[in-house]
Amino acid sequence: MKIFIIIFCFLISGISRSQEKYIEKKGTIAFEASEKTFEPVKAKNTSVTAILNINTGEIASLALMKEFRFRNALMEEHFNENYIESDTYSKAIFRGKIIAFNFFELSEQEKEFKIDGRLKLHGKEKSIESILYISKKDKCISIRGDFVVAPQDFDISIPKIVRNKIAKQVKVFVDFKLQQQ
Amino acid sequence: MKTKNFIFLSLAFIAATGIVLLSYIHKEHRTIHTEKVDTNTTAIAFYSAFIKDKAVFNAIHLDNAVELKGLITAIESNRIVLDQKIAVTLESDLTALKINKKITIKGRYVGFDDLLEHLKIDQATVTSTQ
Repeated sequence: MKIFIIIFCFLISGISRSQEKYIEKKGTIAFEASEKTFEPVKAKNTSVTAILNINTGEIASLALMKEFRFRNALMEEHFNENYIESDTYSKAIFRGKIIAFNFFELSEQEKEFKIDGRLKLHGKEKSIESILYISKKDKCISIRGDFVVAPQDFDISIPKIVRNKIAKQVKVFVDFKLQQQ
Repeated sequence: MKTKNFIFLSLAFIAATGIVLLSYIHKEHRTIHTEKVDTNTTAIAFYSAFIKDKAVFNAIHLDNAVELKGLITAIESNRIVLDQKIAVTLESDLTALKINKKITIKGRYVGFDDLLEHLKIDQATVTSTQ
């Protein structure tokens, strides 16, 4: 009998652990570093992964650099080879915590949450603080938000010849739809 | 006559340079399905090679076209998973695909997703199904 109780408890704990996690496998991260009067410098990655622990508010997100697509193929090539060096630094990882996150307070109406975390990109790490807009409909948690990063914070050097065509502050947009796993 | 020839040649040179420059600036995106693959193997062997030596594996395969054969273990939107380890974003139609079906895909290897523990392939097309 005891063994059945132990197995039952083990199974229940496994189920509840998996219920803590909401996962996105096809999230979107877009960035724009355009300067007025020059060709837009923007790209989008629509295969971003994110995992949210609804009990703790901890969130992790990963974007592969090669999956950022530009409209201009040459721009995409320069982004990968000269700036982000994606052969060496193939991914960007964010790990952080949504402050005062309470899953049971989520509704279809978007609610503002502060997020604190660290972004690792191009081999460098930097603290990121921002606001996220979170809502829940059926079994899906929607998270959207944006933040600003500077290439120099991640040791990404922009050659002089294109310096006035690329913004010093890059705006990053996030859009995730997380499903229970 | 010499001056006329000089002007004509100069204009032709400027036009040719302009065309070359414009085609370089606005060059086409890669078409992965027409590229030569750098490996043709099974999804399981591909993942095993990654686990064996990640750095060497990435140096060989990252950003290159690969052809992989495997069993479909998940289908989600335009994404399938082969043998639970290779996540493939397909450009072609998924309607004929079913779980537990063997498939061969051709796509670009873009890196390892530490969160899901998947190797990721994008811009993929189905080359054969069984």
